[in-house]
Amino acid sequence: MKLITTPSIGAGVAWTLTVVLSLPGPALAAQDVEVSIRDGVLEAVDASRPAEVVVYDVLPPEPQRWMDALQAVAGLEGRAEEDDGLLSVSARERYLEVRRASGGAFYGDMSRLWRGGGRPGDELPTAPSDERAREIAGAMLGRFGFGDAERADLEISVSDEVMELRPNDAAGDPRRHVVGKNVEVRRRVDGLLVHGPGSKIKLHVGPDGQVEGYTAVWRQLDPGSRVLGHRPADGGPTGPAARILSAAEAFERFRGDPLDRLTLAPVDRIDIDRVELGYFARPATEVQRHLQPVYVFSGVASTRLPDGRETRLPFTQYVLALPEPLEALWPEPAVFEGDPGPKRARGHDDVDEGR
Amino acid sequence: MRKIFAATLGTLALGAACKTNLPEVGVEWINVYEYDEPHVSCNQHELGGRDDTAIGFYRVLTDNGYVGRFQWGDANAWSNDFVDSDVDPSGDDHNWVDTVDFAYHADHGNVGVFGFGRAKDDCIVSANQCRWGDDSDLEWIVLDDCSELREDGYEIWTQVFQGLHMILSFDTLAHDSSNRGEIFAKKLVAGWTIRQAWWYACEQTEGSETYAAILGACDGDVGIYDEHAWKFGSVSADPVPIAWWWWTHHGC
Repeated sequence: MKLITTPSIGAGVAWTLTVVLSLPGPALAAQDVEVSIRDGVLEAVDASRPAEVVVYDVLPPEPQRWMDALQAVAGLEGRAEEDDGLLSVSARERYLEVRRASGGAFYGDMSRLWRGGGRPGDELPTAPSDERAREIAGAMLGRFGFGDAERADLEISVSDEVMELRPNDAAGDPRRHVVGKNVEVRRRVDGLLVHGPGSKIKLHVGPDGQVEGYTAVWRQLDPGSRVLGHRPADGGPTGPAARILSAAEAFERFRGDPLDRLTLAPVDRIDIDRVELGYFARPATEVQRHLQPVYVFSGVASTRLPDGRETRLPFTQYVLALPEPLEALWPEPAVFEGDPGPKRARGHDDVDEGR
Repeated sequence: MRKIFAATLGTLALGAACKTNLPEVGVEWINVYEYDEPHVSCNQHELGGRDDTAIGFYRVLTDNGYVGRFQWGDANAWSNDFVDSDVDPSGDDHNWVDTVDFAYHADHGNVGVFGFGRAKDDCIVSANQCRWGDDSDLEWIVLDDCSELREDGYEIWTQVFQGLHMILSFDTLAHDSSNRGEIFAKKLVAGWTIRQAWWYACEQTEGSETYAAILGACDGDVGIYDEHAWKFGSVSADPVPIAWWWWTHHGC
């Protein structure tokens, strides 16, 4: 396979990434993804980005200490059980767990959390206002030991948990029920927002104002990490200083593989209109040793589907801002260890109509 | 459909023609999109974790009493396994996806379409080609692909419900997680509702910009919103005739 990039004409700067297969004989048309970026975006980011970005070491999690603290908050007694890297304790329908890999926690009153929704004609209990949900979450943050919800490094947003009911009747209009409130807390490190699955506190507030559950993944950083690039938390040799890519360099990396790790296809065109420097946190199920900077490319992915429909989807892609990764942003897929029969023995060349 | 389940069984490999009264699971996944001749390649960007997530789901259920009927991957994952023969003569869902209670597809997708790696018949299946639950069995299907249940486009899936209870997927883009299926299945067998388990699995594997979504059918029994996988809690009757569809999404 070889890649061909060609500039094209249009608003902003556009490239066409063409994947040409070196296969002989008949093949479907190669997938073309046209990538464009709004004029001036890269220049604006480069002009405003900090001269240095710290790559922090992530301190090892303390799952048992965190479990003890959260048990006290939840009023859940008893010794936590451990299975497959997961500490957990439960009482009736209430359940609390903490992951060894990250210290990531989940709590839920499973008799109430993410349940119900009503009938199309029902009047459901009024959900708390956004302001009230924010107050409730703020109190919870205090109980977690995060202090004041008004801290400048926290970014708090409130959204509705909705259920849409669509009658099987052309005359019936869809009805939207608000079944709860979601309060999300994210953090900024040195002014940069932390993105990715593994840095968030999400609280679900039920119609009666109770916190019915939460997810909290909040890795602790080593404040001694002051080297651009990497300095191990154990005081070992300083790693090589790593410069931060410019936004223009990151965009080159992005358009080389704009759909990396995304399960989106088909897609015809990606228009980027916003670029932001931030950090990236790995999923709660994974160990993370370094908090690495990323550029976040946001825009719209457009496609005309074979049946004629056109889709325009909000698009986000994370691109490492270091020349080389200190660790993979997303977990690497495991080596397949399953039953060999279905996966590989029926390989590409010997598949027949009977499988 | 209601069933009476016997004692827990280990993983069984059953042919398409063999039907049991035990709950059944089938998965298909695609990481590879280039194949040698004479096969026709579907030319998408390659993925790496689709096998792990689908087979992780399969293993947890089969370790907990489900019968494993199929786990086709890469060139063996065929589009017509999902297509209804009443809609498209090439369709073979009555031998595959519609013979299991819980199915999982892990690949690429877009609103109302999902992909395959080798064009045995098609590279893409559209919701227009599918009718699930009519032939025999399918109650729940995970489409672990991007944006299948987009807020402004999920209606295309409503015609698919012919006894099917729920489609679980995403409103937005999603990522090539290698353990989402396993995480989801572990909570199903722990007795969580299907909605709870899916929201949890997505919070564990995706960031805030991702929204998971569920589309379900309801015949008036709202217990279906909070049903469980077979063997692990309450399951509602097949929602026929459908009184309304319910769609919900959740920020991960």
